[in-house]
Formats: sequence, structure tokens, C-alpha cells
Amino acid sequence: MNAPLLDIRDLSVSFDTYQGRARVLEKASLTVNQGEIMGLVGESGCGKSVLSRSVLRIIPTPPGSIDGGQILFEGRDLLRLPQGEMRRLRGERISMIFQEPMNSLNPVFTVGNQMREVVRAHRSASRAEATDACLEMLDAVRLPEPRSVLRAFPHELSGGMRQRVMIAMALICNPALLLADEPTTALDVTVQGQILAILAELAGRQGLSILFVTHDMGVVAQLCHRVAVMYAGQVVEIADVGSIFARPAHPYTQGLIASIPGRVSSGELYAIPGSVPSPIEPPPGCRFRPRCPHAKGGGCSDVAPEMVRVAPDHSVACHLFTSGGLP
Amino acid sequence: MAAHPFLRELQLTLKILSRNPSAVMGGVVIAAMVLLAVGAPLLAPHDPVKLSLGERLMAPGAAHLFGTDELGRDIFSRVLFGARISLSIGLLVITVAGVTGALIGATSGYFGGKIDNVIMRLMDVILSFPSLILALALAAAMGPSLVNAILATAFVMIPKFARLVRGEALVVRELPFVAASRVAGAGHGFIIRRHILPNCLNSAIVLATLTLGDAILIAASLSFIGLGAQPPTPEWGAMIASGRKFLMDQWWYATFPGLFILFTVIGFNIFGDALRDVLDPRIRR
Repeated sequence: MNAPLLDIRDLSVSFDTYQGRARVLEKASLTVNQGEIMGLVGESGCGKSVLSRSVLRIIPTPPGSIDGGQILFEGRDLLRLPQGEMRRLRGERISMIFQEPMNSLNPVFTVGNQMREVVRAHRSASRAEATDACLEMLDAVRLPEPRSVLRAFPHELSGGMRQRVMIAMALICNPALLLADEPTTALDVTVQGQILAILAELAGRQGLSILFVTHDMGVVAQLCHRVAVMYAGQVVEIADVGSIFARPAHPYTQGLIASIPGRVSSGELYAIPGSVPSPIEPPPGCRFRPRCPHAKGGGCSDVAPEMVRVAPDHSVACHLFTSGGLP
Repeated sequence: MAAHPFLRELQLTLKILSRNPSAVMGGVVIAAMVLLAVGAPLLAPHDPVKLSLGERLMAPGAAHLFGTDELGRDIFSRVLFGARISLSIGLLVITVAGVTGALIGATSGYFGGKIDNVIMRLMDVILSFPSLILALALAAAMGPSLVNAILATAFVMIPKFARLVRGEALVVRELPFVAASRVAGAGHGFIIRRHILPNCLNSAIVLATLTLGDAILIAASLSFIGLGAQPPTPEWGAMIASGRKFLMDQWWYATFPGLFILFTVIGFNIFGDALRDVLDPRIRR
């Protein structure tokens, strides 16, 4: 297989807070291949958004700082790129869409005004050419009457329409990678379905890779090819989407799958006991140990587990699978 | 969606404004002042600077609507031409102060941190003096002339705009569309120009309307003590100053320019207040 399009290696990010240094990402690694939709799941605060934002280097520094690791995109380390080159990559090779379609457009300009701006910022195009490109893209995200959408102010569009405009804007320069940070969380289920279908179609047609951040396992099952599961700032399991649902290896992933409504028919909904540990003083050893049903003394509480391969496309960081079992 | 989108918004604003009684009142006063100022050469019955020593200090009457001053000049004509001067002073001051202040504030708020701290402390220094006193000191230091009075007045108004716009910029820079713009490859200058400033415009316009009255007042005050417009320029503040000596016997000399200042300032204040309500997006629709 070719080298992955995006290769995040041992990325560590921390934020300064009044209570101390919060280590939000701790040696997180994952890859996204050409034309692949990679899901990134985990509960709130586990570092999914920070991970995706680090790729474009839009973490506010200070208080944040990227403490280590590499983010290789098309073979270049984004963390070592000069500001100017980083800016050229943004929007052109890597784009991003956010959770809040309500506020992602500037309320004082028309949609067309803002979309044309993106086109003309990245290539020399006349006003008419830019308009044509916008219309074509709005059509691709299946917005009816693209001409009147261009003339509309953001408040005149619904949430779903706005998110489609955002997708159109993000993809208008034909990027290789789209970072989608919970793009459907704020939308209702039918609209969510339409947006996912559009993303899947565009990914298939344009060879676009997507890093799809979500906490919705249903969305993952519907859209993604592979999944990375994050817990407390670490990637704990990576597998193709079939394996994750059929044979989840990490106890946390097992808990996540078990707590999807409707999967187990018996009575009460399963919830993983306990809550996410503080990123300021994470528990030593395995970060999931305090909530883990399989936790044992010794190894689990002393040594942080390394990623091990349990199947050809399935890795997990858990002492249940480390060579030789627990000490 | 027939008309251009910006025209549509403008129409809506005017429609809402026309339903607001105080906006209409303020607007009428301002419009009247503007008409008088623009039409001064046509409306004025006499030359505002022509001396006519035979008609000194005549009471208001048929020949001279507002009477004459100690050099026989027609006060009505002088007040009309004074409207030109006062309004253009006000507009100039607000434009200079507003543009500079907004740029300073947007830069300060957008970057935050040390830059913000340094700029805002500088603004605090200016704010720590009463604006009239500081304008007076500046105008005196630069020498008495109308241009210097305008610059001095504009300078003391800069912090008001800077602080207001900075506050808004602090909010706007956190909004997702700024992040969206950054991930689309926009630089700092572009974001300030295209995203921060336009979103602070509403409050800046309101502040501009509200402070226009103040600006006229400060400029008139500077002229009153001789640091602004120089004779024979028919400036309202300067006219009051020279009319002061005659206030006991010839009340009309200082009263009419005073009334015009009063109406103009009140007009702009009322209109500014109404504009603040109208431009508030929460009650807009």
C-alpha cells in the first residue's frame, strides 16, 4: 500500500490552565489513507477536536502548545512548515468544516460574496469564473436554486443549507483532505443523513480523504471505512469499521458499542461506569484502568499500554493484548 | 429576491426606522440642519461676512430675521453658514476618530495578549483626561486654527471607538466563521478587514451618531475660547463667544447660534439612540 495521505505520529498537545498543565493529547497516532473516510470517535473532552485542529495548526498558542510528534501530510511535517506555506495549504490541500453551521458564515456578507472570496484567494479567477465555480459546487452538494443561495445572507438559510454551503466552500478548491469536526451534530436526523450521503458521494467521486470526528457510532457505521477510538487524549484502538463493531478489542470500545441504544434489547441502556479522568492528573499506567471491568493490579496501573496489532487492520492499546499478557 | 441583497437590508432598516418616532424626530432635525447647511448660499439673505456698520446690533425683525451683531453682520446668514462649518467639523472628527479608533480597536481585540494590553493602556491614558480638557490642551499646543481643533477633537475621541470595537472584536474573533476563514487560508489582515471590522460596524455607526453631537460641542467649545475657528469664520461657538459680551442687552446675538448647537446635538443624540435600537439584530425581525 502507498504511504498514507495523513500520518499523525505520537502527537502530544497540552493546554495551560489555572489548575495546571492539561495534557489533552498524549502520543496520539493515526493515519488516513488516500480516498478513505476515517472516523475518529470518543466522548466529549477526549481530544478529538484538538487532534483535528492540530492538523491545520489552529490551536490557540498560548495557552495551547504542541509538545511533540509529527503530522506528516503528503510526506511533509506540517508542524515544521513555515507560516506562509501552512496558510497556502489551508483551504487548498486541507479544508475543515465545523459543528456550528449557524455561525460558520459571516452574517454581514452574502453567501456568494464569501464563497467567491475563497475561490479568488486561492487561484486567479474573474468574478464570473468564481461565480461559476460556486454554482457548480453548490450543485454538487445538492442545494436547490444555487443562484438564489448565492444572493442570500446566511440568516436566510436553514442549518442544513448552511452546512451544505460550508461543505461547498471547503471543497471548492479540491482539497486532498477534509477535516470534519462533528459536522452533523447540530442538525436533525434527516438532514444529517443527507449531509452524510453528500460527503460519501464526494469522497468517492473526487478521491477525497475525510477525517470525520464524531461521537455518534451510528454515523461511523454508516459513513466510515476505518475508525480510531480515542480515550482521554490517547488513541486506544484503530480498526476497519467491520471489526470495530464485530470484534471490539479494547474494553472502552466494547463499552461504547454496548451503549448504543437498540443493540442490546434487554431493558436498561448500558453506560460505562465512572467518568473521564482529568487531563491534568491522568491516572498512571493505562488511562482507562479506573473504569475498566478487566483491570488488574500491577501492569495496568504502572505501565501505559503500547499499540499492538491483533489483526491485519486492527490495533489496540490494552494490556489484555500485549505480548505475554500481564506481568 | 429581486433587488440586490444589500439594498434589501437598507430598505428594511429604513422601514424600521420610519416606524420609530424618536428616530423620525431626530432624523427630521438632522435633515433640516443638513438642508440649511447645503442650501446656505441660496437661503441666506445676506453675505455672512459683509460688514454693515450702520446696522450694528439690530434686534430681530423683518430686515434681519435673527438681528445683527456688533459689526452689522446678519446673524441668520451667519448661523446658516455656521451649520456648514459645524456639521463638516462633526463629520470630519467622527470620520477621523472612527476610522482610526476602529482600526486600533479591531487590531487590539483580534490579536489580544501583549499587543492588546499595550494598545489599551495607551487608550486608557487618553481616557484618563476629561476629553474637553485634553482637546483644549492639544489645540493650544498645536496653535489656534480650525484644522488643529478638528485634529484635537478627533484625537480625544479615538479611545471611545477603540474600546467599543475592541470589545466587539473579542467576541467576533471567537466566532466559528473566523476559524472557518483561517482554515480556508486567510491571513490576519484579511480577517480583520473582512470579518472583524464589518461585524463591529453596527455599534460603531451608533457610537458615531451619538458622539457626533459631542464632537460638534467640543469643537464649538474650542472655538468659544478662541482655539478653533478664527474670525471672521461664522462658527457657532465663536459667535457665542463674541455675543457673550452683549448678552444682557442684545440677547439674540448669542442665543441663536446657541439654539442651533442645542438642536443639532439633541437631534444627533436622539437619532443615535433610536439607531441603536433599530440596528439591534434581536429586535430586527
